[in-house]
Amino acid sequence: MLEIEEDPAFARMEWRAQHIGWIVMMAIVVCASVGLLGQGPMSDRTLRGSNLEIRYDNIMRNGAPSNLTLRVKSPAVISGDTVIRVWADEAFIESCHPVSIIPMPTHVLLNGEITYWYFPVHSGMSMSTIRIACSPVQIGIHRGNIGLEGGEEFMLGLLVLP
Amino acid sequence: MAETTTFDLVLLLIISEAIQQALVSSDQSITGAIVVVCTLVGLDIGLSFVKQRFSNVGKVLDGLPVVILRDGKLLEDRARNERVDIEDILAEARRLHGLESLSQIKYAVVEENGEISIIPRIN
Repeated sequence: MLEIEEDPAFARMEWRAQHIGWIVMMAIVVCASVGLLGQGPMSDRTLRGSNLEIRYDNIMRNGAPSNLTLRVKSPAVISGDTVIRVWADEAFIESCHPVSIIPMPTHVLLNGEITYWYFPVHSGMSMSTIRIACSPVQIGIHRGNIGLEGGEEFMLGLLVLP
Repeated sequence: MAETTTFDLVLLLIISEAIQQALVSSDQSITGAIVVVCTLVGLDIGLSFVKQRFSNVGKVLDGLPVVILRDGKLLEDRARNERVDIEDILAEARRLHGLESLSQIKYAVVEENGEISIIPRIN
């Protein structure tokens, strides 16, 4: 007689747990490929206004780079102004944690909890693109505001995954 | 588990590389490395104590041996769940005992570490 610590019921439970583990792993891969874990089609969000369009990832990963693109109808077309003034509140700065802005703003102005970035534009330009590279460092759900001075603004909802 | 293939080794290296970033992030210091190593080794030692104290924890962490063949008859459901087929059993039987057929095997057991133990039938 074989002396063995066998437990068929436990073995069945173990196999079931193993199968659940496989399903979870497959679900993670599927979620990642569609962007539910960031950097994919389902996390790609675009907000459109008449003068401002913002494209960003509403699901980000802690410390991972993520781009936020602002497409701005040139103020020269609207009001003859040659400076784009973008503002962002403290909540946006803390959640997005910008590490670089392209093109570099010529001026940065701090006014309380609002940061202003100034971008001079050529009077002949109809649309300008500003890219903000984010590298979020705070895990969780965040909401921040960004917009054009005296123009449209959007509230951005961000989920930062660990 | 018992026999690591080349692919398993490559997979292990890639996984360790992927996890390394999450463990230490941008901390390149020796202190950071010591903390990670001590945490992981401490966890291993701690778990071995817990397994020794509570046998059920050991069952969950290491599993139990599973008999997949009895008196020359394959227990198909168990073998399928352990992802072992007749060829694997026969190969181990040949390698360990020089056996030629399933009928010469009394028991085949998948051990906790994934190895297949063969107990020959005594005539």
